[in-house]
Amino acid sequence: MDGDHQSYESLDRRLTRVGCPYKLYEARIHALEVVARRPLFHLIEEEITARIPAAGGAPAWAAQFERDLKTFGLLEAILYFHSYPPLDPGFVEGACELYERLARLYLDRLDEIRGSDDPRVLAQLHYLRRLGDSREHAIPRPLEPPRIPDGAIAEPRQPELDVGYEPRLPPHADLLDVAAWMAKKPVALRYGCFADELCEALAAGFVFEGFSGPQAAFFEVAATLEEHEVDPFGSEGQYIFALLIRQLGEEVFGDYEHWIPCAGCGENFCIEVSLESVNASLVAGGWKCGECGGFGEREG
Amino acid sequence: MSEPGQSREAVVEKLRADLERASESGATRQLSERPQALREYVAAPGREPVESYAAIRELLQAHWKIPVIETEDRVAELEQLGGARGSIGRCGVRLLDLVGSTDIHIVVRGDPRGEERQMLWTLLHELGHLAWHLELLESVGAVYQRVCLNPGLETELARFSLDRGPSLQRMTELEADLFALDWLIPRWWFGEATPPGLPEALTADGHRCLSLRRAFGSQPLPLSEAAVAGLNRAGEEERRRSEEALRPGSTRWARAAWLLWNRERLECPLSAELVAEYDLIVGGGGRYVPELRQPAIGPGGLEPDPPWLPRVAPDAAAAAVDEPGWVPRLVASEGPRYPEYNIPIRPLPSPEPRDSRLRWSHMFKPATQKALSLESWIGRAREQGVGLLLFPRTPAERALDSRGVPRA
Repeated sequence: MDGDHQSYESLDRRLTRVGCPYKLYEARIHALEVVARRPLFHLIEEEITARIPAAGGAPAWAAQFERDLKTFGLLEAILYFHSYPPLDPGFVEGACELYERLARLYLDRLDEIRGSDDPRVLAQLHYLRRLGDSREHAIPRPLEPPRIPDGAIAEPRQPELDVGYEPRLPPHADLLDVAAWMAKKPVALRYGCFADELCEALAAGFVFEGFSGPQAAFFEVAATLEEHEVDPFGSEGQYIFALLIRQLGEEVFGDYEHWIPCAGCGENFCIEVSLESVNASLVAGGWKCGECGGFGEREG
Repeated sequence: MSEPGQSREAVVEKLRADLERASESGATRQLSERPQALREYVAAPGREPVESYAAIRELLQAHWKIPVIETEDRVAELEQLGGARGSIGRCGVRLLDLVGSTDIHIVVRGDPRGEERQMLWTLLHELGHLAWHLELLESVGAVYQRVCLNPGLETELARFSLDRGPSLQRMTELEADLFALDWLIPRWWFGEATPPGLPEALTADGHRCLSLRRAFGSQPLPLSEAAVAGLNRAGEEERRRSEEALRPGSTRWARAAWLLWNRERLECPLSAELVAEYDLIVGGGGRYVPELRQPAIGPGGLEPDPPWLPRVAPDAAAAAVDEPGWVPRLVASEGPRYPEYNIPIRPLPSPEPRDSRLRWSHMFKPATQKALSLESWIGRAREQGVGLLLFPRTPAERALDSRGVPRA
């Protein structure tokens, strides 16, 4: 235990040490339970919620903790302990340790969760998406595997349009609803090429299901392109990135956190989103700090 | 009856306004507001029935966004809670995913150019399912998806379907018939005295018989003394018959007549006890999904015999999904035990009539996922040692796709 965790800053340092940007909501912990094959969520009730009154908070603070957990996820629910009546430091450290255990386990099993066909896992993530809650904590992220372009990065170019193009993706229900609402009748979404269809599906996800922030979003886009056998650095991939970057600049996906804390120099640095900077982040596996050239390397 | 000479637009507008007034919230924009509005509307004293098939259809399509699909083919098959549904119509309720929207389609068998009166009854009957059974239908939709999260749930459902399903089916069909009957023959028509314009010699039974004939679209009778005597006799005969239990497999007329003479003593919903039993099994009605709060971890017990969901062998799956059908089909995992999960997939919308030719997507994955061929999914499920739950397009969805109507 590194001292007193009663201040916001010390709690924040303690909790972000593990470097897990994913907000641990109940649904995400249930997804983790499935891949880890053991119940975990009850630990929060047993080790935190039930102990708050004995640790110095009245029962009402336990209810507050539950509300924060539901609204903001586990990290922020514990972070708010700084605003509670003084709590037993041993209890607070225990809560931080539990968060760390769950967050570490989540990071360890992330690939399984991401690649799963298991509806028990996917239903939880789907539920989170429907709540529009895919945003991450703005903290240094674990590095992604660097993506090395196979030759020079191509210029963005829209593929040739085909009047008979048959859609290859399931239509986004909310997008259809909005299109029907605007046209006052059902409207078929038509595309001339796969790149346009995929770009609209990606944008619809960001609009209706939440934007995970520039740190993570372009890695998600790259992974989706690769799933569809589209080279992120080819002309089609670059075309999709360019369209999404333009929409991001127009705040089609809403506002987002531009500032990231750098694990290298400890300062916050601003993400300037452009096709060039997105490509550089994909090649490096993360966004680099302009000051020190470091990026979110994890401690511990 | 709605005013003769009124334009269809006027009839639709009045019907819409009357339904909104009947709703507790004063609106029918939300799907959840509509069942209660429909039930209150048909029970309203002084209401004259709207008998225009086209107007009701337009209300559903243009204002309630419920597609009404007309077909000359058979539209039904075995229903998953037991029994066979009639082949004249269908109120299809499909949940696209666990927490997303509910898709409703009404299918009516017939050709509106020649069979409008028969189709009106069918349409109102299906609307009766919406009025009385939306929650049950949504629940069955949710259960299909819950079986993917918790395959062992099938055991209890198989038992319920076998023991109680046929009774539940009979009750829900009667409720839908009763709704159609109440729509076309309002209860307030049958007061103490003979209504004005009808011969005094017409008895209460004769009046009911006359109303039923009109509701079923029979040619109007000149109400001569002999005709009135005939109606009175026929009505008396129907009353006598209605004192006996309704025989299974009765005709539409026989069911309607039985209900017309019995409806005052029936307490709706008739299926309340059976639905409560069903709710006990599934843990709660509507879209209740306890597996979201408590994931089922670990393998379940032995599969039931007979199973609840229809099984299909992997090499027969392609042919099975091309058949018209309303219920999912399971490509079961190998062995006598339940797998840990079943993968739910459905084909992408397409004008192509055969689902086996289409790409299929996982129902819980984001819309950006790569859709795969049916064979690829079968291989993927086999590798994981789990079941694959196929949600082929319903005949309604296929009809919409062939007409280029967009849908999720």
